Amino acid sequence: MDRRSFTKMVSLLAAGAYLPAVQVHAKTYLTIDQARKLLWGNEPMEQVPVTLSKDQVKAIKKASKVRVRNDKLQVWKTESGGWFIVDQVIGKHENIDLAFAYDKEGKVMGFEILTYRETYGYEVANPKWKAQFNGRDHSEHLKLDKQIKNISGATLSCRHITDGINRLSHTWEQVLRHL
Amino acid sequence: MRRNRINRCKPLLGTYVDVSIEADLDDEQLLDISIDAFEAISRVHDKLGFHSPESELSEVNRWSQSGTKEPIPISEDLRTVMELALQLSAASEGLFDVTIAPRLVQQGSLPHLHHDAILSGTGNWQDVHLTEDGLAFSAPVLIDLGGIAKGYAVDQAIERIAANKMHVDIKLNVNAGGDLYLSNWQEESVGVRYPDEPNKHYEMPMLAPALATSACYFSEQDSVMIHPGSGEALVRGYSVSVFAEQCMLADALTKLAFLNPRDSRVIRQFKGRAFLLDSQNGLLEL
Repeated sequence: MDRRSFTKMVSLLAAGAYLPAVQVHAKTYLTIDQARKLLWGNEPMEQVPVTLSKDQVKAIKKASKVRVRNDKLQVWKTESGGWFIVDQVIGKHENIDLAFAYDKEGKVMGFEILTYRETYGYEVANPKWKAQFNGRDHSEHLKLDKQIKNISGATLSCRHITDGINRLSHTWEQVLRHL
Repeated sequence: MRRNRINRCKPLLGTYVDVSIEADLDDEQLLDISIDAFEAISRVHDKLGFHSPESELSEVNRWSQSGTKEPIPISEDLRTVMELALQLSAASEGLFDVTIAPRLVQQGSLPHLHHDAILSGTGNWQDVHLTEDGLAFSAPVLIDLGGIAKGYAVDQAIERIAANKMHVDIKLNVNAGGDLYLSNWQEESVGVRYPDEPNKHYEMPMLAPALATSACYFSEQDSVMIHPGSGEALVRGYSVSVFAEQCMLADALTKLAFLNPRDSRVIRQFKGRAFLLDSQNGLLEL
């Protein structure tokens, strides 16, 4: 076999250099305004200040089976009675800002990802995983996401977005439809 | 008009699909192009997805499971993907096989949609026949295109944009969970994730427009890398990356490289370049 080795040894940071819960790979997509245009065109809308009460938080959590992390909503009511909502979903390895469009019946019409951040740290807790890096030194090939634009090799599930939609649908049901 | 750029990301194909478009166009024109790209990807998602009972693929699976010997007519999309899949199966003597879905259903990696589906003793790629009239089956099978359709979807997005772009110079990057296409690849580099440490990368130059990487990254689930011979779900510490002219090809060839990194003949035959990455040995070309 014709084996060409690009680099024989790729070494890693010394075990002692690890910090728990490193946050990497953040990417910015649309601005709120771009997302608003995509989802609602030029339809006029007005921001509505909404803070969920404790009872509302409880009711939304119970109905959607999703934790409500933030009681302050970032919502705009459109002329046609629909909603433009900017919200965040938090998963085990990702943290995503999204903009949603809900119509006046509380049905989700679309959504756009505004920013996407991947978080790690779970590996650090695993002693076996950590042990394999003992005694290796640093390499210039080892780079954090921040510096790298194109990344190959990731498969995260998108189920937290589904959870987020579910939570917001119940937020509409419990709160927004009455406003 | 000055150089302008837009980045969009949507959850599709079971991953996050990232589309970035750069051209001398205004925001609205760039957004229109991105809408086209996502439409093409959604079309492939809707037709070739295993997870939806309404997809064309599910219809084909039900047809196969019913024992019907007549061919079922299929779309151009499914034809293109199955054509390459079967070519790769033949070239690799079954190491690439889109009919290992029953095994993935059994271990819970795929949903059990067709409740009367036969999960054991099903046929393999040799029982799938692509004819002018469509797909015919000489034994019941379940097909999953998870190892190839994501790449095809990226190719379709690129093709759609290329068809509409007229004479504008557009720089285009599409990344579907690691299945990557970069129009100006000659000037780009890429970070390949370390399989055991996904926040770290090995940076290397792009060697072709398309690149795909496969590994067992998020190990809380069972590996979806099934060896068609043994039926074993392979857990390996390495990732494999394949550069090719098309994403579909790169995507599919990673499965061969992952299952048997010692033999790169088929990868070379299809003009791919495959690399293996792990923390022990770094990067090796196969």
